[in-house]
Amino acid sequence: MIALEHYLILSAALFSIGLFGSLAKRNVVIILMSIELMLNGINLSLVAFSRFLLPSEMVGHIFVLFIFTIAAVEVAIALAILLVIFYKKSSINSSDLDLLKW
Amino acid sequence: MVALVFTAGSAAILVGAMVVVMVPNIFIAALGLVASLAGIAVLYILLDADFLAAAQFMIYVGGISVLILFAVMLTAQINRASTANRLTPIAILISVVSFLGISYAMTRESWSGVEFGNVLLPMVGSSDQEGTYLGDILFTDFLLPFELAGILLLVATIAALVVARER
Repeated sequence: MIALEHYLILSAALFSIGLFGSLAKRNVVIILMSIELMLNGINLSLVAFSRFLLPSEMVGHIFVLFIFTIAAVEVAIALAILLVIFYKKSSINSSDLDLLKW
Repeated sequence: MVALVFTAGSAAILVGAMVVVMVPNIFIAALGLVASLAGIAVLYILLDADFLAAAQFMIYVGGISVLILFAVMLTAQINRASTANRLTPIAILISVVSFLGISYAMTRESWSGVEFGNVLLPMVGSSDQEGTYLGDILFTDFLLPFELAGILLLVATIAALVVARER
């Protein structure tokens, strides 16, 4: 039988893989994908907690719905900014975006 | 049967996530992201969250992945841009420590008394289905955050148009 621990460890693994990607990658699109992976790890643990601990209240589901909204907003704005940066600098490597660096 | 589906779903999630962070070709990385998100939707179905599974497919697999694929195509540095930076060893260290720490903190308490019981949702009108109950509490207990999320979506749509328009 699948217990709560399995879901929690899976979500921890997904979060850590996303953390690695967002720290170690140069390409901003890959960093965005890694952030999505981290958000999904969190969502999984929220739904698992909600299902195992409070199955008749669905508060975790509400959290996850709002996180969906935030994630969609974040990706839309980030990609718009990304396109502008690419038109201006012909690069989307995070190491080339050093305008504010002294 | 449940264990089999769980294993398949978690394999899809982890393999897809590893493809995202390992493969140098960014297009294949986006496909790995799709596999990972679809695996999450399978686990939502196992957790009796049918509405969330449908929303996961529509928003993540259908929407966000397509948006990311658009960005991949428009920025067209498919093969050379996703190299790792100089921080890779430190990043591996941080993520392993984070995995061990989160796993320890989450399993330190024994969850053995927690059962995978039946879901007994309250009746809303003449229905006790998940979607009905979710809609009911969204429009009563969580009305203010729901409206704020709508305003946020409107603002973000306008902002994305303004930022990305031709000058």
